[in-house]
Amino acid sequence: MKCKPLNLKWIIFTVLLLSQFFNGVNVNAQLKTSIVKGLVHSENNQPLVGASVLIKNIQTNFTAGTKSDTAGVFSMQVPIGGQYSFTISFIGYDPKTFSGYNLKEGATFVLDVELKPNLINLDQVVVVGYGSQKKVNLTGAVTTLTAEDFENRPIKSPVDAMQGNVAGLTVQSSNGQPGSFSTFKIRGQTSINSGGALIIIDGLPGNLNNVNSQDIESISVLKDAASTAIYGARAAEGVILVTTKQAKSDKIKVNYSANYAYQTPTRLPKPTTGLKFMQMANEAAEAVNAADPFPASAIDANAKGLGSIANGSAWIFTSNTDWVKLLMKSSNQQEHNISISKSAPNGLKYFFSTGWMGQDGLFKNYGPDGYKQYNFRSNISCDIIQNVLKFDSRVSYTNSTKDYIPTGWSVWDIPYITFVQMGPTMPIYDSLGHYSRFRKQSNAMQLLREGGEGNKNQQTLNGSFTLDFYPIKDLKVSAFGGVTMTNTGIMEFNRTAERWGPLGLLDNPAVVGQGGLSNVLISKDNNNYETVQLTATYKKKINNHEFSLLGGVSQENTKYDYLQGYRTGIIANILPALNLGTSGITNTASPSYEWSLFSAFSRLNYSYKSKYLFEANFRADASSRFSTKHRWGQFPSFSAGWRVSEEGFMKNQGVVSNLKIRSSWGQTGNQNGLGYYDYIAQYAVGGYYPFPNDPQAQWVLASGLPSEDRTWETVEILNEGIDIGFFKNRLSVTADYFIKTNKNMLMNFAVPSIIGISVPTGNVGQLKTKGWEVSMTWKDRINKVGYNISLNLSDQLDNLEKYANVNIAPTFAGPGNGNLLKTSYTQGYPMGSIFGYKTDGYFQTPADAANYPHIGNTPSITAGDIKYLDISGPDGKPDGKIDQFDLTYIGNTTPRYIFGIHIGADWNGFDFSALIQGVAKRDYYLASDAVSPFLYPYGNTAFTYQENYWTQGNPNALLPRNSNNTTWNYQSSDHWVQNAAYVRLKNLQIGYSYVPKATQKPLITKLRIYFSGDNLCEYSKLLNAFDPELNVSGGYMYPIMRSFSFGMNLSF
Amino acid sequence: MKITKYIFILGIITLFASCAKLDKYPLTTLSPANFWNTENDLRMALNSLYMNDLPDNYMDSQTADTYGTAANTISSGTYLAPNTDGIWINAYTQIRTTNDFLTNYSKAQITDAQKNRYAGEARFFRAYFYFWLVKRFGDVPYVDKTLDLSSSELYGSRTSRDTVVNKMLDDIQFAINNIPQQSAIKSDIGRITKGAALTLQARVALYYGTYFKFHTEVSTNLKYKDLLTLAQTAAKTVIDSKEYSLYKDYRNLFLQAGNDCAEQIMTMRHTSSANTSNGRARSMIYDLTFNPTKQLADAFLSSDGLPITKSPLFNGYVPYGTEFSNRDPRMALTIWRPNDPNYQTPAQPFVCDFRTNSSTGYIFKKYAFDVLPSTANDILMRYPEDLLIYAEAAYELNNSISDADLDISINALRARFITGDVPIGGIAPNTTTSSTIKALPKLTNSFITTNGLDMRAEIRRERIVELAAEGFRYDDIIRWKTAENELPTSLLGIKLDKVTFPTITKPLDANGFVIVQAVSTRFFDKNKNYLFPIPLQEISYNPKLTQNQGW
Repeated sequence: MKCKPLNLKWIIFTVLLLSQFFNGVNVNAQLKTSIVKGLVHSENNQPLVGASVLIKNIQTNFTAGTKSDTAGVFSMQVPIGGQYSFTISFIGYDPKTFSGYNLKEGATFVLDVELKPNLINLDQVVVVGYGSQKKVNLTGAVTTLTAEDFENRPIKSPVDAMQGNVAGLTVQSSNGQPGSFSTFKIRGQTSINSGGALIIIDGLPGNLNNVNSQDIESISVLKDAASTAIYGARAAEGVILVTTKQAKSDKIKVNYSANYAYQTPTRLPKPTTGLKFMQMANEAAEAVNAADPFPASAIDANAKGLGSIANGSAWIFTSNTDWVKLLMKSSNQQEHNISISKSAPNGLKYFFSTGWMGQDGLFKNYGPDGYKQYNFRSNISCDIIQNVLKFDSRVSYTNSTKDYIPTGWSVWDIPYITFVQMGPTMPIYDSLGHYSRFRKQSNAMQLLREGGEGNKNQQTLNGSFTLDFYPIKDLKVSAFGGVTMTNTGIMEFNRTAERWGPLGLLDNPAVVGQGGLSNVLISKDNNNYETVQLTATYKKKINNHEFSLLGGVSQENTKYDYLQGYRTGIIANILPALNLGTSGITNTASPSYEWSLFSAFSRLNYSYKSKYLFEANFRADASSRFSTKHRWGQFPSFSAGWRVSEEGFMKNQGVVSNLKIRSSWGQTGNQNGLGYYDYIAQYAVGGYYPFPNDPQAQWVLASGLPSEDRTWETVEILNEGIDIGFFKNRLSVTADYFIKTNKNMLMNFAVPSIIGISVPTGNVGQLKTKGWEVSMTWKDRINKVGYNISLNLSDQLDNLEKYANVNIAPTFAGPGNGNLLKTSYTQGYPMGSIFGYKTDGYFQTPADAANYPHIGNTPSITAGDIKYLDISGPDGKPDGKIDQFDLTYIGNTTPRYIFGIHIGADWNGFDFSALIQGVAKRDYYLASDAVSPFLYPYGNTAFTYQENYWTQGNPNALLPRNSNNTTWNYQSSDHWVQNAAYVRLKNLQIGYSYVPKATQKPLITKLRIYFSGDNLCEYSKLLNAFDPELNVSGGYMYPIMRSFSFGMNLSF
Repeated sequence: MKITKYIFILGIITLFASCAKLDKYPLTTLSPANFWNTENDLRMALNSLYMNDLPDNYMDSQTADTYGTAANTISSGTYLAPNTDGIWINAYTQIRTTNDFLTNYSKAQITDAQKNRYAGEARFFRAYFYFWLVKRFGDVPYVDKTLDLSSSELYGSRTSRDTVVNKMLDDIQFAINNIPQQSAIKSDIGRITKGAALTLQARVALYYGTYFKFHTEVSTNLKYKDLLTLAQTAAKTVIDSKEYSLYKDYRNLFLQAGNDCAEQIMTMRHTSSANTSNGRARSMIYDLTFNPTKQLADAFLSSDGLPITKSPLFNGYVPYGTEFSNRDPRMALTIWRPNDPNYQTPAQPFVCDFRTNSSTGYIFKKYAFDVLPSTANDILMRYPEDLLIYAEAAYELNNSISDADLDISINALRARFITGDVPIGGIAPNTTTSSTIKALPKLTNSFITTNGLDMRAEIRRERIVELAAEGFRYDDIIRWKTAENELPTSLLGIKLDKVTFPTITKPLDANGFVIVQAVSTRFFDKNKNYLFPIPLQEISYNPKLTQNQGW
């Protein structure tokens, strides 16, 4: 043993030893006790102040606790007899336990406790497909998150917790409505037939949004084919493995956590004033020589504060109402969770939990808008025969209910009509006290209060049961069975409501919005999934060779049933019951289906001296969705790793503490984009045609051309990775580069439409995605302050290398108004491409416009209209025409350079963390109804940013001249492409943990209170009316929320 | 011991493999093998065609007779060749349904007469949809069997228009021969009848008879006179069958009350229980798909049978609504007459609201305004078409028509209204205008000569006003070859009456009529626009498809 230099530790230690001789003896003689003393210090011999010491004696049932003093020293007198164990813990350090000590009467027992900082843990075990592995031995690209990343944030779904924390994960939202969840992609695009990553929760495929995030122990995100190939045909878009909690402590542990959040919308457009709107509307009408929609009398009425004036049988509304502000102020969210767990010494472990979350929507004050979810979970495991037979069961139940206003036609939902049709001139009530309505459109307030209700209830019951059998040494055989039952019930009640004009009730069975007669739609579906699996794992170490072999088979069956009833003309218009309808029951669709998958899989791991690592996976899947010709798919993968840091030449340096190079190749499959019976010729019965003698005559139609020649999409991923740890792993870096190729993507066959029937997709496409990910974590502790910074950055770009069975030169859809987004997949371009005209500002004089080529014969362009550029023609040269040859690539809506920065610190019980998340490159296309208030007859509002339109005095305005019905300006063009890069303070937390003094029996073992803010602020160049995180083009959606929340976490 | 364990494990694996049932069959669809047995099977196999029969109400927006909320690209000449074309796709989809039917129907175990009746329906529809294609695109690929991905016909070239027309006429003749008259299948109202097949024959024959007569630049092997004779004969057969008659109530004919009256030959039907509705009622009033222009309003004769330019009874346009006095009774039943009860609030007189009703100042009354959603039949064929075809074919055959032929056609139509009657279901005129209806006088050869009129123009006028807003007008100006003159004109609305509309500022022409689209923005290229472009995508998928001239 090396001689250590004399330092503080030794001085104190020596003092402790000496003190024993002077005063210890007397005390012991009287009380038959012994004294336990110790010094708690760090690696660099700094004393740790306030470390908890827990002293236990199982035989005598003695428990006591104390803390180290300012010198890092603790001391306690304990009765002798029995075996003692001592656990010393300190925040930010790994706890240490000493056990099995018999104390001598009167003696002083002295402990030297060196605690190691809780840095990146190399021994971390990571859950992988059908097993687990030490992180150091991994050869694939896997990111893991643990419970810490989930606790104490008011998150709706674990996806929210993954955002910004997992490199290579793109999270997007379509809206912020209660009950809507973010979607995500792992490593960008994989296929045009995307079905999302495969989510496996405790061994069963499931829905992340149904898991209570407080129940999650860990999440593994498997990104490359080496780690996903064992899931075969469904793993092409990555696999997420969720493991729920199991008891750890041998004492009953009760945990209660609660959170209350106040939420306000992030970014919303601000409507103009009534007067400004009237002026703009008149100006826009005059520009096309149309009559002023607002006569002088209307402007006069606005000045006098009148809300509406009669105009024949209709109203002209003249109010000043900010509908956006009125309807979209704030909402609340609450969450409560309780769990009880215990791990008994005899092998029985249990973890029971229940959680409740309630989210009120923005519109809650006026009508149905909210989401509730509650969960129950029971995780029980026990040893039936110690070391031979072990049983584990995980059962959970989730019940969620979403309340909303149903709309027959989804785009006419409440925020949309608020944004597009509820103009500032429209009061809530007209001068006669009836709800005001523009044209036949809805009044959002009336719709909320009287328009009916929608309700979606979903219940999911999951059960998974495992029997582990250890017949011989090193062999484990597991039988696994699981079921998932999901029942969904939807009720949508659209109530008739009245529409009034100044002269009385208008169009008698008037209906709210576009919905039609009052009607009720009720649907029920249930999905039953069953699986059985049998796996065997054999592990063997012979000298320096370490093997592990896994083999297994599984069978999965799903049956889905659906039933729907719809009736109109609801008597009395009060109760949403089918039997109150006056029409026949219609639309009773029943698209039931079944599918089965039989699979066999195996994995071989081999390592030599823990230096050279090798892994091979193989899976074969047989799916009922294919004809017998193509029923089986094979998915192999190979990976290798070299732990350079284990080599002798790396031993004598102090900088690089860990270095591993990884490489993998593999294939996975994708079966999305397929129907269930596509290879079978079918006649579908459907529809209704009302012949008088057969009022609901159905028809029979061929369902599409069957295809026996299709097979799985094969996605090949090549991955190169490196893991480096510096300075005793204070700094760790992981970097990966990948090339993902979907080699035979299923896509629509380009067939002349004279075939007259929908044609099956064919394995004719190819999509290649290249990308990289880097993540870095720095974790350290300076005296009492522990801190960590982690950063991740990733990028990927896809390219549709082959998009058709025939070679077609890229042709872009003809002129349109923003409909080219996304749907226009074009060979040679990424999937999120936008195509349109290039532009060069506006025509500044009528003469400029008059001499400029028109689109076709489009007339009447003038100063203030957008100038489209003639960049090409039929011969590839500008031809003096603006036509489809001038359409070109103008942007990409896929987020690029996604980053997350996480900063955390703690000090004396206080903790702080911040998550900054963003996207460095993304294009956002402003749909025409976001930029042209008077383009459509149903448009009835204008926003402040729309006041910035072209005039002679404002030549570089945001919008072209203010004019009614000029389709010219709303062609798809780069004029409407905005930069949606953003950086957002996604989460900020400040908490304080109270760790009670270790008295005899602490009632509370931990209490943490905290403030957490989500989406607190952001920076983006995007028009400030729209949220850059939304993936919609108009922006007129249920806004996403800033949330301010307080919470607590209590354990006892 | 160990071996037993392995056998045990192997056994479980075998058990797994054996319970892996991977052959799954559809739970909610039929297979072709267990279909095509009964009469009802055949009917069900045809029913979707009724649902997808391309109601053509929007077609009038492509003419100068109407104007919507914005300039129509077709009537303005600004239409660009699109990648895909809804009519192309829809028509070929329906044609496949008919071909699938015709491949399989004979398997049914029913009488030949029954089989042939439904085969007749299928062939009727096949011709009906080819008519859509051929009049829009000219030569089109002719497909009369179900193709699959390996069929060489997929990549064939366009079939000549002559051939397609002949095939259509064959199909229609088969339908005429095998489908019973309406009176023989009374309980089957709504299905195709012999009358419908004859009317389609007359329609197609008239279309190509006049098309080839006036489009002398087009080469064809079809003789226009043969076609006109066929049109005349078919129309006469319908007239002589006495299966159909004029419905007295011209207002309710287009509303729910007129559903299945003796005038309706083929309709698209709607009910709330089938959850479909007639979109026209809504589109006329709310969506402003199209509103009448001055051109259409002026087409209605004065009650003395003379055009307004010649009639002493015409009182001019101002004050607002004056133009409706002393006019063809159909005028106030086609266009909403000012001061008639309003459609939303019948207690109030109707005054056009330029803001919410119409940009022309006129608004249609035909088809508007029933209860919404409307379940009035969408009329696809009605008896007057046969009368008008008869008159036009008779005239175009010889450039003359006898008074006897006028009597059984145009004059029969004019006799729907009787002088002195208030039209049934029509709105009783208010006190400011004439309280009695004056039916139009007979159209005769002597009336034409006496008044210096043109017989062809008057026969066409009768068609324009009788079938206004029913989807015929665009086809008419194409086959008459008048589009090149008629479309590049200013679209005008009402004469703006400053007393009624003191605050409305609209661009006006020299005579004070509202200009809704100026002539400077309207085009028609006679070398190009008589046909539509073949969708670009079809050409790129099948290079053998050539593009139409000028596109």
